[in-house]
Amino acid sequence: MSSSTNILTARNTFIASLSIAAMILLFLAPKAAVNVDELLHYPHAQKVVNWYFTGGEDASCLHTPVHNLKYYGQSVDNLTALINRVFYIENEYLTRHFTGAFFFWLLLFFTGRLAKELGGSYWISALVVVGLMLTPRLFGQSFGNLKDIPFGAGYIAGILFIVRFLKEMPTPKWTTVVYLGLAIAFTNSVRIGGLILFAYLAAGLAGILLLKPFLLKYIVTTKSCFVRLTGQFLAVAAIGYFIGLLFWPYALQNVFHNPLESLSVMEHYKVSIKQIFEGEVVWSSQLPWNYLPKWFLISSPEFLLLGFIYFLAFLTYKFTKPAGEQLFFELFALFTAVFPVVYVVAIGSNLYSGIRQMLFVVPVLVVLASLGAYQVFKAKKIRRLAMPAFVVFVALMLLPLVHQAKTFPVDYVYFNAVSGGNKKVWSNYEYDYYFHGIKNAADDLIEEIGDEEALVAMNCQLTNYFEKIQNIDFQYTRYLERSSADWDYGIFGVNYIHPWMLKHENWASAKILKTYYHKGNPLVVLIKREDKNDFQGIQELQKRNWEEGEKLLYKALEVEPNNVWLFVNLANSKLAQGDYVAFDELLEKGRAIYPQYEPFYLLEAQKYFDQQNYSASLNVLNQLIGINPRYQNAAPLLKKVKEKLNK
Amino acid sequence: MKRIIAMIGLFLMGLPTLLMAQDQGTYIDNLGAQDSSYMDEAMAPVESASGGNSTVIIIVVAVVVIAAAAFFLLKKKKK
Repeated sequence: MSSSTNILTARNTFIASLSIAAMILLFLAPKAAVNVDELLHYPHAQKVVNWYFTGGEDASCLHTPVHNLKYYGQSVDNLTALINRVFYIENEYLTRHFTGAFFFWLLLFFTGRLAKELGGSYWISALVVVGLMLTPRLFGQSFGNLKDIPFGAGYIAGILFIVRFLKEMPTPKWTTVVYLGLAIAFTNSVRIGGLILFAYLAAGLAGILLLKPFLLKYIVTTKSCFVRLTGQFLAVAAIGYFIGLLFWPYALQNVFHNPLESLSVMEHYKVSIKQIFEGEVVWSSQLPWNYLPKWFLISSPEFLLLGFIYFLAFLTYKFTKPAGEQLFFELFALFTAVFPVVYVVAIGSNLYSGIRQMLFVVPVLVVLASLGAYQVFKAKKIRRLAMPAFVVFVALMLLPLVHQAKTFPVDYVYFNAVSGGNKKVWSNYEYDYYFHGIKNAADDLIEEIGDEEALVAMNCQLTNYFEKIQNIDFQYTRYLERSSADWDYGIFGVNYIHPWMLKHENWASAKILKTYYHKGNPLVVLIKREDKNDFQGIQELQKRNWEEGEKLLYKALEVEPNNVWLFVNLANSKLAQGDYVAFDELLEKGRAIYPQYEPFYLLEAQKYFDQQNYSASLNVLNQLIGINPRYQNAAPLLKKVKEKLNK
Repeated sequence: MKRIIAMIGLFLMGLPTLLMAQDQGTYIDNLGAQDSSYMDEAMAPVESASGGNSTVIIIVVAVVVIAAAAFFLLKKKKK
């Protein structure tokens, strides 16, 4: 076969892989689950669109004191709100999921092009497309995550055009300049962190000038070249910075100050979220430095890790040879994958949801892994080892494929063999943090309820599943505190439950109608409330009807002996009545179910305070702070105790 | 006998305290444990990440170190 035929075949394979990917994405988009962030960003997107439609009169998108949404450019979210508004589309989330699929496809395209640029073959591009499709953490969020996936698409496009720009030095094409500017603009329009691409361009330029010192001399001494390059840099800066701000109302209020303020807010996000990490509950603002590296290690598909090892091996080998452009660009790509991770670890950024906020480096890692595998395949000196090594790489792709086929739309919850797999990781790390598992339970419940009037409770804000059904109302409640809310049916994701309870299997309600499993792990529970003794009992206690309230709660305990919240409320009642013997008994029984539950500590501290034993009260409060420094309900008592102790 | 009188005396003396404790029983209205914290402060100082100045320093140091390493490595190999 001639080399031109080879290239043609490789190119066609790349095109075919993109076409098949497009068909798969189009097929799956209507079946995808809505994630909890969509319920946060989409309403904001509607406000942003309204800001433009009203000429700035409706400024509600600029006042987001709780969720910080004004600091997000979220241009793709805004685009979906615009499409839905202009075309009067009723199924708004379907528009979002098709849009997500489109941007994921763009991510495939640009990543494939980058692979060709770095490796010189479309075979690598095709391998990259397959690799990205089989990276569950990325593919599994392609439909509903309209910030991290489009940001990743912009990031990879930015790197692609930076590489082209550097390769074309000292006379880059104007088309490259415009594309680079637009890629940076788009990335910034999603999240202001896209500014990092400017730094990459500067670092890449410094590197290429060091590699080819004669370039610098040529640029400085050739006036036309100098003027052209200066103009091109200004064009990249202007397009990349200003165009990205056009769809972001908050940035438009002050184009220089607000984007930088937003960058600062994003780097040290104020919202802290409870995370399960290494079997412990930790607030996201207090996670250890190894949080992100550990997550990459346990959640990346096996083929990616192996391919990356191949890549590093060949990179090391290349250092023994005379350096050239190839080594430089591979190092540059590696830098764009590693630097953001090192950077957020170094500045101690507030991270949560595993690698979600760093998903944008995954495509670069897939490129490097595919490059490594391709180099193994082509290696002449290790011919005997090469083929088995490449076959292992391809064979490992079956693991995520099987996982995805079995678990969609919760396929993004993937833990590799290094971690011991999903079964071992459950209760030690965050699982379905995006609540994708709610979809199937919601579909079943709608069927179960039929035409009857019902109040449905959930421990997430996925109201979308019921908002168009007239006979179903929605109620939010935390799972453990579900008895305090009025509801008929409950759908609860197995989230925000302490690992101790999960491991001791005493978290599950006795009223569960159906448990939804994910690779053998409980993911979601569907509960039917046959009686409301628990809810009514708590209501009576709140009215200070101790006897009636306690009677109802003891009755509820007979049905749900593991309902720790009932023990909390009964102990609270006894504390109010000064019945400390019964109080201590209830506390002991409650702690047998969930020893680290914060309300027990507060109740105990309050008991000591009431008994005027302030130092004992402070001691218990200090234990509580050790468990959860953000348990706000203890703050008033802590203040009173300190006043009594003159501290 | 003296012991019994003393115990009754102690009980009577302790009665106001006991009654006071009964009266001072407290019902806590809000006991829920939140899962996320939007902008609220921790009760105790929480380890915070380094500030904005370190950002610039880290970027500058990273770029300089990588550029220098690449320069020396590539030069060396070319020889």
